[in-house]
Amino acid sequence: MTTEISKKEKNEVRTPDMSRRPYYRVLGGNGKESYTVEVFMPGVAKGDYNVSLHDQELLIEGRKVLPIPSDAKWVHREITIEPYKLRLQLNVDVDAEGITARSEDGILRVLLPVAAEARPRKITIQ
Amino acid sequence: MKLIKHDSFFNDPWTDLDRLFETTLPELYQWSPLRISGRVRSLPLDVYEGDDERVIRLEMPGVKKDDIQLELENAILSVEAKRIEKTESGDSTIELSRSVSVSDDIDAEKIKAHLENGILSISLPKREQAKPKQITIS
Repeated sequence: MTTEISKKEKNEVRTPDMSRRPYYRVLGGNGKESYTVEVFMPGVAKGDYNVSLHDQELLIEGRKVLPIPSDAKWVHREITIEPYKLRLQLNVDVDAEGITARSEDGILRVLLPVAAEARPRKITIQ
Repeated sequence: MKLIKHDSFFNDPWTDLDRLFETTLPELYQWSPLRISGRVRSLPLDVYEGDDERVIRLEMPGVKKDDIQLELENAILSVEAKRIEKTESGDSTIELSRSVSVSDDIDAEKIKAHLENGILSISLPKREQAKPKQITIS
C-alpha cells in the first residue's frame, strides 16, 4: 500500500507564448558613442522589466500588472494584458557591461554604448 | 550604421505602418486621416465597474501629468493629452485624445485621476442614489 496520492506529476498546462511586441524607437547612432532604444510598455512597474543581451540579440521584456478589485466587473476592454517582448538582433557591437536602462511614465529607455573597437575613428592623414 | 539588423516578429501591422509614416512622411502624416485613426488606436482603454464607482483606464506612455486635460460635459468624458518626443532634429509633439460616454449617475465633483507607469486611471464615483441598495424584507 502506498501513501502517495499520485506518483506522476500533474501534466502542466502549457500556454502559448502570448506576448505582445511593444512599439519602440531608436535614437542616436550616426557616429555617436551610444544608441538609446525607447520601448513603450505602459502598465509595467519598475521591478517588472528584464533586459538581456545574448549573441548580439537584445531581449527586452516587461510584465504588465493591471489588477481590478475582485468585486468589480468588466464593462469594456481594449488594453491587452499579455507581457511585452521585444527581440532585436543588433547590427552594432555594443559594450554589454555598459548597458543601462531607466523607466519613466511607461517607457523603458535602454542605453547601449557602442563597443570601443566599433566606434568610428578619425584617421589622421600624414 | 543602423543599430537593428532585424526585428523579432511581425505582430502588429499597424505599429510598423505608423512608424513608416512617422519616419518617412512626418509632415504629411501629421495632417492625414491616418493620423486621426492613429490617435484613437494609441489610447486604448478599459472600463470596469464596482458598486461605488466606475473606473476608466487609458494607456498613455510618455505623457506627463501636466500634459493631460480631463473634461466632463453632457455625460461625455474627454481626455486630451500630448506626448513630447525627443528626436534628432528637436522635440516633436504627439497629440492624443479620446472621448467616452459615461452614464449620468456619476458624481462629477468626486472624480479623481491617477497616472502611474503610463496608465491613467480615472475614478468616477456613483452618486448616492445610484448605488445598489439592499432592501430588507419585513
